[in-house]
Amino acid sequence: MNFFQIIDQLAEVDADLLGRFDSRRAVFNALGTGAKRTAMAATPLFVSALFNKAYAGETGIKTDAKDVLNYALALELLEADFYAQLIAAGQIPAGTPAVAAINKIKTHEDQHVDLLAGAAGMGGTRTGGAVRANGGTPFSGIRFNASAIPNFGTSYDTQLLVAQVLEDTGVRAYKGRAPELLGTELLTVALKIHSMEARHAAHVRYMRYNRGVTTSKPWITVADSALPNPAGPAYKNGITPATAPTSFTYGGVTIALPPYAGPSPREDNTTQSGVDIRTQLGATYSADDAAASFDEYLQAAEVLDAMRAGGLVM
Amino acid sequence: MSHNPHTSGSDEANFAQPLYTPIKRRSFFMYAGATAGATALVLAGCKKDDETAPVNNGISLGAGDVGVLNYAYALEQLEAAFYAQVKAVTPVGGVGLTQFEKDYFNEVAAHEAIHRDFFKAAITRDAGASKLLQNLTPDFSGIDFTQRVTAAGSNKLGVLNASMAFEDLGVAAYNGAGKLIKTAAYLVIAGQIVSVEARHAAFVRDLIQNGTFSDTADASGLDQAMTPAQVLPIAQTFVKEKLDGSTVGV
Repeated sequence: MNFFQIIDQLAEVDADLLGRFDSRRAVFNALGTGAKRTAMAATPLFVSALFNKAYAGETGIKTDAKDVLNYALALELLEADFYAQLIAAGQIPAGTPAVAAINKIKTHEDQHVDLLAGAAGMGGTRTGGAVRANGGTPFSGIRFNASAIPNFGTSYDTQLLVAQVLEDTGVRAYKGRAPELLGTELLTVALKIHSMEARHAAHVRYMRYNRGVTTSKPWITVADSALPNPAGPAYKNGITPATAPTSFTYGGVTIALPPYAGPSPREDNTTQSGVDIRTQLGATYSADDAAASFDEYLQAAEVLDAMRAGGLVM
Repeated sequence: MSHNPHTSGSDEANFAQPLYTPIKRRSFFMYAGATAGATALVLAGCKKDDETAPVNNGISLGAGDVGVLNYAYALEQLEAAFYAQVKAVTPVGGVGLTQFEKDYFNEVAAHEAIHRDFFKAAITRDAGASKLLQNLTPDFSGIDFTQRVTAAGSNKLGVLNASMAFEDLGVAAYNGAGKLIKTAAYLVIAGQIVSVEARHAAFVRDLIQNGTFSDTADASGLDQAMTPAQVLPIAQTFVKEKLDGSTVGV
């Protein structure tokens, strides 16, 4: 990747861009010295961080990008550890495509962690990464609390259901905070992770179908919002404003959370932007099709609630 | 650019383009199969001519957020028309779809019709009917709706292959258009739709070859993103009208 060439290309369409940086030299110096320059400059999120700063406040909503990224990191760490424990439990049927599929998903979650928290060097210490590049201290050590799920260690079907819930929740979580990155290059990175999580979710749902759960579709149907615990709450709203957290702390690192704005839509929602999808589009659509054609967002306060991912953090 | 086959231009398409474009284009080959990909490449090669001789830029998608919404509306029109055709024409059994696949594709057809109708309603409401992109005329002459997958030696895409191409392109298009959106509410709606497109994409990929649901990922585990300038030359090969997306998001 030719870092300066990218800046030059952008500058061609936006003559002001170079002026937004202190100077090209300052940008380059900010990258550090020696080999680190090359390594960090090659990290998409680091490049994004520069542009994010350059454009900040112009098109984006004023939020600390570092907190949004750290929030994403918390979820990715949870997912990565979840898959590590799923694999370690040894319940994936040997010799089936599930082995490769779970490993593939696990690899992506690890890559997302590396992107956000920086890759681990010798001795396991992580350096660089998007959270640091934006001025934050990345979370580390967040683990999946398997003991919160009955039979987790012995039931493969339970493991797949939890995987589905985590993936679908991750998709909802990225959606919920995308507006805070409005108009920035960081948004593009977040969207690229977001759609990858949706692909994971679809595949895990298909895996469950192939395990005999014939109601399991790659997309979220109305019935999912009526699932019993522990899956059901992931598809509903349901926390009360009184319990909505305003911050999240783990391992001495605290991030502020956006104010809770009342319950987000449930996944069986059939109204979008004030339009009843079933009846107001000039054709009649079923509730299942109306609900499945749009995924819903969740706010951070809801995702981190004990009823959802927050209850699985250890 | 038209649908007339061009015999040259692929080489010149490879320079004077941003560094990453050839990689994306190669990815599309992978998605769509070599034959249709080659068509896209040849047509993409025409882009340069269009830029140097802007006689007819085609139907403008509009500027700013309306442009982004019309851009999405154009892609959803295409997808909805495709699945409507699958629903109407593609047989069950033999070289056609399995009953399971047909049932699921009927659901996808409904999702895409909803997306199309939703954008039509939203653009009309928020920007006025005069800003709404017209109904497009799809050109599916490169797709064989009787074949589940691309038949050996055929220059037409099978249904699953075409579906994968549309869905992966749709995901990359939404991912790339996100940063062009200036209104938070529109970004949320686009986010609500793109993850459903990603579910479709993963599913159809698994139908073609189980386990390939996420093979669009790069070395950082990131999905693809493409700009309107990258997406439209490919989408254009399936639309009779000429589209101008040069002011989308601007």
